[in-house]
Amino acid sequence: MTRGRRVVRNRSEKSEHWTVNPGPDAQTEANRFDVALRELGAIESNEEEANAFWRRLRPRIEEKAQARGRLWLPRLAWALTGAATVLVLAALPWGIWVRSLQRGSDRLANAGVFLPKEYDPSLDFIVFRGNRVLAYQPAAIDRDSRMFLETLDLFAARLQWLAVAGQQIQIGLNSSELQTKQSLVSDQSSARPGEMIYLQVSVFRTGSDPARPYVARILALPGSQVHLDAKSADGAEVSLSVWPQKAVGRTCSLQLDMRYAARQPGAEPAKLQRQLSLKTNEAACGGTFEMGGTSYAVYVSVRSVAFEMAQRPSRV
Amino acid sequence: MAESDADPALDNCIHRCVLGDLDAFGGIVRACYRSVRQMCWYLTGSEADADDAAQESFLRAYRAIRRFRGEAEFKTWLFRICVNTCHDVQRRSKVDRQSVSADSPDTEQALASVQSPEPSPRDMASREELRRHVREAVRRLPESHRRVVLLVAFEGLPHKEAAKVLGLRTATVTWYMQESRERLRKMLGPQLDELRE
Repeated sequence: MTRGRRVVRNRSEKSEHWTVNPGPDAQTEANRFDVALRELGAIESNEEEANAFWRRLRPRIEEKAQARGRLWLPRLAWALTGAATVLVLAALPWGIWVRSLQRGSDRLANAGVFLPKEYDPSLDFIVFRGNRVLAYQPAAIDRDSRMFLETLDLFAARLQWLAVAGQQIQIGLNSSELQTKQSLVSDQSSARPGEMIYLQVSVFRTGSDPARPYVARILALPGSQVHLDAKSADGAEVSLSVWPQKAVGRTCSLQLDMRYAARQPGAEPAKLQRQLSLKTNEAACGGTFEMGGTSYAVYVSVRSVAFEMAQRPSRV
Repeated sequence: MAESDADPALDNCIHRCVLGDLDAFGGIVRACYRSVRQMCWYLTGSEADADDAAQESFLRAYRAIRRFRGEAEFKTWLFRICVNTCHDVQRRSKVDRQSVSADSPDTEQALASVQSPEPSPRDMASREELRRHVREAVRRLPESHRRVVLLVAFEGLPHKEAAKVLGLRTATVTWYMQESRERLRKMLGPQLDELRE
């Protein structure tokens, strides 16, 4: 058997096996051996045995086929249930988010404030999510902070606050020579941008023609009194005074003393005075008033009580 | 479907079965029963397990026949199912198959039990006795070798086809076959040669 056997390395299959490559004689011998093995080792079976086997097998196949048919419906039910569960799980957070947006809008509506048509919740400063402000106007914030820094460069340490109301920019200085708006209370020797308070006061007109006629964005040092005189979009003379102070403790971030007065020709002047406790990124209703048969609501939002002037221009 | 040229009747049955004809599957079972039953008998080691494994193999084949694309010979495909089924049945029934590992310390003892007392065919009571010896010798081969012997020697599959069935390299199949021949020769001794003559 071993006569004529050659052992070669099988390189064609990149195999590490040593393949036995028998010579012609050995191959014939192996074939004869295999034939003998097949003849002697074969398990006999006749046609009758095969038929009997098929008779036993057939009911099993049919039974399995029926069982598979019966399984089809429960499997489909499970698949649908699984798909529904996945959908619900995916929709739940989305629903909560949408609901929170809705709740924010509802809060305004319940307060008698109707959102103006041009109100864009993705951009506007006063967008609620629960009690939190959801979005701001990054461009406006950037513009305000840049403006403050440029003004700071002009007026050095005397700058106390800067406000944008309507089409006007107003600043408050603590020096009598250059101040355009007098700062009544200031224990700050110099403006420190990192501690700026950034807030927004919005007045909403309610009723059949809702709008936001007045918005003031204010950057101020804590403790400085801000006083703004401006015209609102519906022609009213508005006088706004706010005195923001950082609060000590965890219940709120900011104490705000706000006085709002509006005067419109042919209408009784309206006045509001309110002390508010605010948290960062929260908005609070400062009150409602009526003027000329129209209802208004005042909202104050706090962006930051330590506004970071991260976008400091290169001229600094 | 590249069907076998060897058996047009079987090809016809396969074609009809793929279309859902259960009776056609009966034709396949009848055509392949001997081979499958034989393989199951050698691989499981008991009559009961062999019957279970054969039934299970055909059941699996029926379930999967619609996925049979004819890329391989039908019998090659069926043998692959059969080998896997036997493996599962063996594992389930935990039958001690008494297969002798090549490195097992019982090897020599097993060889001795088959070799001695070295009866010649003429000394045997009947040809049936010799058959029993051959079957026993084949069943004493390690499982990997036994599978190769069944496919190559018993079913006449080329080494390449057997390698496909078993998921081995062709060279490995060749090597196993050579080893098996030598082992069987050792176990059966001159009995096989004399019978061959």
